[in-house]
Amino acid sequence: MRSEGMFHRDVEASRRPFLQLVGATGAAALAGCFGTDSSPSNEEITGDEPMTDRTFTAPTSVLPEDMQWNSANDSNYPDRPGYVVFDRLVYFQATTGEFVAGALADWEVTEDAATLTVQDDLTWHNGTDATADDLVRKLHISLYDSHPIGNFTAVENVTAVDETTVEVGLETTVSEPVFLNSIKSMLLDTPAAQYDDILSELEDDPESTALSDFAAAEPIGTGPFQYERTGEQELVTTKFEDSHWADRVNFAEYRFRFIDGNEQAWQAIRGGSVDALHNIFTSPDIMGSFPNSVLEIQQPANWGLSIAFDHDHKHFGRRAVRKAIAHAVDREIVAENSAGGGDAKAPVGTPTGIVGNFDDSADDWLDNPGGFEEYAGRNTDRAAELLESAGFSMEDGTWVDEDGETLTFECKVPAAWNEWVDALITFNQHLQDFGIETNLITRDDSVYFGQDLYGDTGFDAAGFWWSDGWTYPYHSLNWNLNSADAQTVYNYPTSVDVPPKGDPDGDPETVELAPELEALVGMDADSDAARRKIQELAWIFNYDLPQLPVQEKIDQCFVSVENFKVAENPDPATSVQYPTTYLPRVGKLVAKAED
Amino acid sequence: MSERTESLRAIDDGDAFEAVADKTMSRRERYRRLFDRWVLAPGRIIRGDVRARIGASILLLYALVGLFGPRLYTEPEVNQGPRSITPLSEGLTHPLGTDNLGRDILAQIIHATPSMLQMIVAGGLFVTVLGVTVGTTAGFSGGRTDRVLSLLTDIVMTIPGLPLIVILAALLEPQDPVVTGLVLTINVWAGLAREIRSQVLSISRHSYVEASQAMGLSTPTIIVKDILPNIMPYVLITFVNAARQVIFASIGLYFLGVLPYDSVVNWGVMIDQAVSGGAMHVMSLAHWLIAPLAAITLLSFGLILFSQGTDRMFNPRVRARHSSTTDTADEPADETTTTTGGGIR
Repeated sequence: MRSEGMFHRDVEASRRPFLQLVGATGAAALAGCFGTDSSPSNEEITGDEPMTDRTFTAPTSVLPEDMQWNSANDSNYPDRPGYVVFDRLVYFQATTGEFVAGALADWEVTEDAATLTVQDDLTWHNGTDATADDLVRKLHISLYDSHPIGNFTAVENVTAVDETTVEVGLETTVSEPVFLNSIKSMLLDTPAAQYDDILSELEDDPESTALSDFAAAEPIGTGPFQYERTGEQELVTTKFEDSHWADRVNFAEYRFRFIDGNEQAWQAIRGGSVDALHNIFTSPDIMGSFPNSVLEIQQPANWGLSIAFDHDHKHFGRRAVRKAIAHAVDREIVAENSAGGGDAKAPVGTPTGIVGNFDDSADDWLDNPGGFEEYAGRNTDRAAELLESAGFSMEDGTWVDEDGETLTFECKVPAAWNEWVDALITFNQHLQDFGIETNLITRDDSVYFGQDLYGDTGFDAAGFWWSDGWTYPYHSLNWNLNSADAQTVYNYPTSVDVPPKGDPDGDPETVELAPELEALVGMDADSDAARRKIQELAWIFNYDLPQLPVQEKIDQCFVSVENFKVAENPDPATSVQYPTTYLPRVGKLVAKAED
Repeated sequence: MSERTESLRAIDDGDAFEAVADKTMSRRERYRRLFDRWVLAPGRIIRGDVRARIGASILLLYALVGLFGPRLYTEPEVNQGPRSITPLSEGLTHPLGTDNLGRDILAQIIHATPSMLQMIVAGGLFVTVLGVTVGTTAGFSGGRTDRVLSLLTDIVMTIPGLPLIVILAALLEPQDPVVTGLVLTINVWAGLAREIRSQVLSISRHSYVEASQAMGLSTPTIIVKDILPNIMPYVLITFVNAARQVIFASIGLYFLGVLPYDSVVNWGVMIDQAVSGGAMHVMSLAHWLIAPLAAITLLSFGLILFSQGTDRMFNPRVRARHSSTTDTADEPADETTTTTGGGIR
C-alpha cells in the first residue's frame, strides 16, 4: 500500500512541472486569443485608390475541388463565390427600398410589358460581349426551370428587341416592385458557350433534365472577378479587367477559403486567415473576441422567425388561442435572447405581415398603425380573457378546454438553428409562465423540413419564417395568407371570416384570399388603391394571425480593415446582399495602398 | 468412529445427499450474515481503500444531487439572471454564472442530474444484465444453446455501433432517459457476453464447479454461486464502462443534435449550446462550457475510482482477507479476524 502511495506521489511530482508548462503555454495561447490589440482602423474611401496586388479572402462552405457552377443544379454550387463571378440582373438596397443596376442598366415595367436594358459594356469572362440575347437565354432557361416570373409571362413573350434591350410581354398586370423582386436573385450566368445546347434541349423537351444535370466545371460570368484555379482548400479568382465594374476594383485577387461551420469562421477572422465573413449570426460576446480591425456591417434580411400553428389542430385552429399566445409572449425578450443580447434580431412590432421592423418602416404602409392590435406581450390579462371567452379555464395553474383537455403542445425547431432554439426556449418559457404546457422538440434539419414541415409527420406549432425575403408587402402577405406553403405547411384556409378593418367588434365578413392578392399584384405600388389593399390584407393578418411573426433577422457581415477600406452603415450600398460581394463592384470595398 | 467412516456409511445408506448441516443458523444470524456480507464488508472495503472512498463519495454526491437537488435549488428559467455572467460575479446568486439566455448554470447542472443518472443506470444495467446472462448461459450450457447465443452475439457485434445508435435515435427519438440509456447501449452487451462466455468456459472446468454439477445442483444455482463471484470484478468494471459509455454517447449525440431534447436541460445540450454560443473562443463564456464538462468528468472519475476500489469487494482471492464481525465456524480464523466467506472457498 505504501509503495503504491509512493508511486502516485512520484507520478504527481513529475506531472506537476508538465502541468505548469502546459499552463504557461495555454496562458500564452489564450493571451493571443483574447488579448487587446492595436489594430488599424477603417479609412475613408477617396475613390482614387491605386491598383494593388492585394488578395481579399473570404469563406466558402463548398469544398473548392467539388464546386460546380450551374446555379440550377443545387449540388455543390458555391453560392457566395457565384455572387462574385456572376452579376445579378439588379441589386436591391434594402434600407432605401431601391433597385440599382446590375447586369441590367435600366428597366421599365408597364401594364403589358417589361423592358429590360442590358449594360452596353458587359463582357463575358471568355471575351465575348454579353448582349440582349444572353439575357433572353437566361430568362428562357429560368422559365423552363419554373422561375416565379412564369406567373407573369411565358417563353414566347420574351424577345430581344435590339443588341441590349429585351422585352418581356406580361400576361397579367404586375407592378414594378413585384416584377423586380421576382428577378432580384437572378444571375446572368448562362453564357452561350455552356447553355445554348441546354436551351435547345429544353425547347425540344421542356421536361428534359439537361439543365439540372449540367455541372459546369468552370464558370463563365460577367462579374468583376474571373475564375483562375481551385486548390484543395481554396478557390482563386482574379480581377477581370474587361469587367463593367473593373474601374472601381483595386485589388488583384479574390479568394475563397473552405471553412465549414460558424466556430471555424469566427476563428478564421479572429486569426486573420480571412478578410471577411459574408453573413453569419454572431452574438455580442463573440464579437467582443474579434480584433478591433474587424467591422460589423448590418443589412436587413427581410425575413425572420415566426411560430407557425397547425390550423387543423383542435386548439390552434381557434383564433382566440393564437391571439392569446401572441398576447402572452414578449417578442422583445424573445428577439433579444435569440440575438444573445445584441441587435441582430429586431422584434416584430405590430404583427401585420409587413417587413421592416428593424427601422419601423413596416408601419409606414399603415395610415393608422394604432388601429391594429399590437399584441405587446406579457399581457396575460388579455390572453386569459381571450381563452376564457373561448371556453377555456384555468385548473391547477394550467389552461384546459371545455372538454377538460389540457392546452398543451409540442413546439418543433431544427436543432442546428441555435438562434431559433434560443428563441423557442424563451417562447416556451413565457407560455409556461402563463399556464400553457409546451414542450420544445429539437429535430434534425432534414427530418424537420422533410417530415415535419413538408412531410406527413406535421406539427402542433413550429418555427417557420413569415416572409420569403422580399420587401414589397404583396410578397410577405401572399406568403402568409395565400401561398402553397401556407396551405400545405400550416393548413391555412383559403378564406377567412374577419370584421371590417379597424372595427374588431363589427360583423365578420368572409374574405376569399386568393382574389384579394391577385388584385394587389397588378396594382401600381404607389397608388392609393394598392395602399388600401395592403392595409386590408394586413388587417386580416393582424386579426386572424395565420402565423405569429416573432422577429426579423438582421444579417451580419464582418470585414477586416487591416488591409482594406470599407463603407459602413448607413451607406445604402452596405444593405445590398452581400456587402462582401457587392461593395467591391461599386468601389466601396477597396484595398489600402501597399506599404 | 471416525468422521470418514461415518461419511462412508452415509453413502452406503444412500442418504449422502440428504445430509444437513449439524448446526442450523437462526433467522437473526442469517440476516446478520447477509447484512455483514452485503453492507458491512463492502463498507469496510470502501473505508479501507482511498480510491473506493473518493469514488463512493462522488457517486453519493451525484445521487444526493439527483434525488434532492431539483427540490432544493431553483429551476433554470430564461432571464432569471443577466446574460452570460461569470461565476460568483454576483456573489452566490448565480454561483456558476449564467448562460446566454440568463439561465443559472448550477441550476441546469442540478436539474439535469436526475435524467442523466437514470440514463446511466438504465444503460449500465441493460448491458450488464443482458451481457452476463447471455455470456454465462452460453459458456456454461455449451452445445446448441452456446452456438445459438454465440451466433446472436457475433451478429450484434458485427453491427457498427455508432451508426446503429444514430439510426435508432433518429427513428425512435427517445425522450425518456431510460429509453435513451437503452438505445445508447443497444449493442454494447454483445462484447461483454463474448468475454464473459470465454471466462465462464474456463471457470466451468474448475473442480469445484464440476463438484457442484456432480452434486446435482441446478444450472442457475451453479452460475450464481460458483461462477458469478469469479467474474464479478469484470462485470462491475463493465458496468462502469457501460455507464461511462452512456454518458459520453449521450453527450456526443446531444451535442451533434442527433438525440432530440425537450425543455429539460441536459449536460450534452449545455455543451452544444455553449460551443455554438462561442464558449470555445471567448474567455468570458468559458464557464458555460466548463461547468457541464466538469460535471461529466467528475462523474466518470467517480465511477472509475469506485470500480477500481471495489474490485476487492468481489474478487474472491482478495476478498478472503477482509474483516468480518460474524463468526463462522466453518472458516479459518487468523489472530484478529475471521473471513466472511464471500467468495469461492
